[in-house]
Amino acid sequence: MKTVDARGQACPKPLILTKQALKEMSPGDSVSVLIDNPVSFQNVERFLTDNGMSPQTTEQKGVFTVIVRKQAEPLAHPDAASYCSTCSTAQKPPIVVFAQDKMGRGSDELGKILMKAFVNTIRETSPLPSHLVFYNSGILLTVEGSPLIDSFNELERKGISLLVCGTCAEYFKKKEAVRVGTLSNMYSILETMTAAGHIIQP
Amino acid sequence: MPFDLLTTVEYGGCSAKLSPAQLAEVLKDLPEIRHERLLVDISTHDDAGVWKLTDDIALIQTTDFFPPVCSDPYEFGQIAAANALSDVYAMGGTPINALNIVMFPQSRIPLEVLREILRGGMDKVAESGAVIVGGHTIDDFPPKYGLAVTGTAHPSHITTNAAARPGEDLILTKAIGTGAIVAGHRIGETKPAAYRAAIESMKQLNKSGATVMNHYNVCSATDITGFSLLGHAMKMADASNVTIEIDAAAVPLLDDAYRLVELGCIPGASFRNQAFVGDQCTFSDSVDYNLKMLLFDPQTSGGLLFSVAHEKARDALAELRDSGHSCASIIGRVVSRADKALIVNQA
Repeated sequence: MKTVDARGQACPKPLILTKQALKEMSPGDSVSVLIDNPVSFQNVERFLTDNGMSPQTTEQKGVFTVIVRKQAEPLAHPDAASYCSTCSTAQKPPIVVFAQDKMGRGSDELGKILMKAFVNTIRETSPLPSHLVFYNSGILLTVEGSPLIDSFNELERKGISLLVCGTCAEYFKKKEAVRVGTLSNMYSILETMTAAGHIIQP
Repeated sequence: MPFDLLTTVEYGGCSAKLSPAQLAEVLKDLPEIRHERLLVDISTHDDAGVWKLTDDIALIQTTDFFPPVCSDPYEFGQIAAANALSDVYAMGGTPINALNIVMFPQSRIPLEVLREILRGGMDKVAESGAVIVGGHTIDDFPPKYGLAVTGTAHPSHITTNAAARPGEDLILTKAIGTGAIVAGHRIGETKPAAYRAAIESMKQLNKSGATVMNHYNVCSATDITGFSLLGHAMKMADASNVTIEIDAAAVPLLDDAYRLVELGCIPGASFRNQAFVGDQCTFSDSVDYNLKMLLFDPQTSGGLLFSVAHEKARDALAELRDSGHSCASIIGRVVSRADKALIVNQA
């Protein structure tokens, strides 16, 4: 019997781990889940009974053991996509694409100053973008020595994702010097641009 | 390195409110308060207290505060303020001023973080047209922020939760799912775009919603917060002595909320809300389990739920969608009190 150790995991991790285990098991198999958080234990037990299963539970020294058998019929697999957003007119957040490390054309020096002001103003805008995408010389804004590292960290803390083109970082020989965001690829970048509400390009 | 407020609530964030059952237990043995000027009191578990000052002015008073629901202090300030102001709008009123309520561990978090929280609160209060007139701060961990708000309304135009009438349609002004999305974000599951959309939804004032309500002479409303859509709907049904029917498929969901619940990312408070509603809700067999748990999802700074005459519902909906509530939806109807407070179907 498989054992899932969810001890020390904060709610709702124990439930997620239990569900994951059930998904991977064959019908008729059993799983044993260890939970040390009484509230999480109650929630997992409730989830299982609500979904037609009969968990057996024991408790010893603050650790709950939940043993449950996967039903012969699989848990209903609803078409999740149809629930994705019943709010079809919900506003999709914009993204910002940094295709170069300067803003505008005519003067490089002015371009650098404008870019700094642009990035520092992003946090004041509403709605905030969901992603910042960097490619070509745009990646230079994300490397060691860039005056914008702290600003980008602040935006990351708000839940904004920073995608830095890996090919570009390598081209500029700066792959090890990237200090914010995650290295990404053309597919992810294109996927992000396609899904965006609208694209802002300084 | 800027301070991440979510690190102060890593225990798993089961919502900070006392369970509704515990609260009911505490309150039931306290003496009932009655006063000729008290138009709305605690007995209907409504959103705020309403006090008749003159024949034309009723004061609406409410308070709300909680620990961080996001990393950024400025956004936390905005969301907490929007949440506190919401109860005034739920009563059909206009906020006039507010007091800050702050708990902050000054020896553990830099004071600049507090400044940003307060700035967020101040900006949101200003957006509502009200003014912050003072406040109180004590040392405590984890940090908490919110407001005590005063609003006004005409005494005969208060939208209580006790006036829903059979035959009316039910409108919800914001999508639900903030509980699952915030819980998912804590464990790195929520899609970034969905998280941002949820944050923007939580920051949104219910101001234009209240304007639409008043325009259509709505008598009954509440706002959806920690007790979930079904929890607050049940309070409205009980206070109004009606039954509320909800079509689960018509309830607007925040993007990615369903996927998260399907993964098992169900906040602990959802189960608490489910226990509170208990057997007061009948679910038809067709209601999907994950959708059901979303109807129990605790909301932070959710939308308004109000009942409106059937023939006016479409117009009210159109006006809501024109005034920034793109997810507003007709989600059900009010019927005569049947056996249970709530009936949930899925078309």
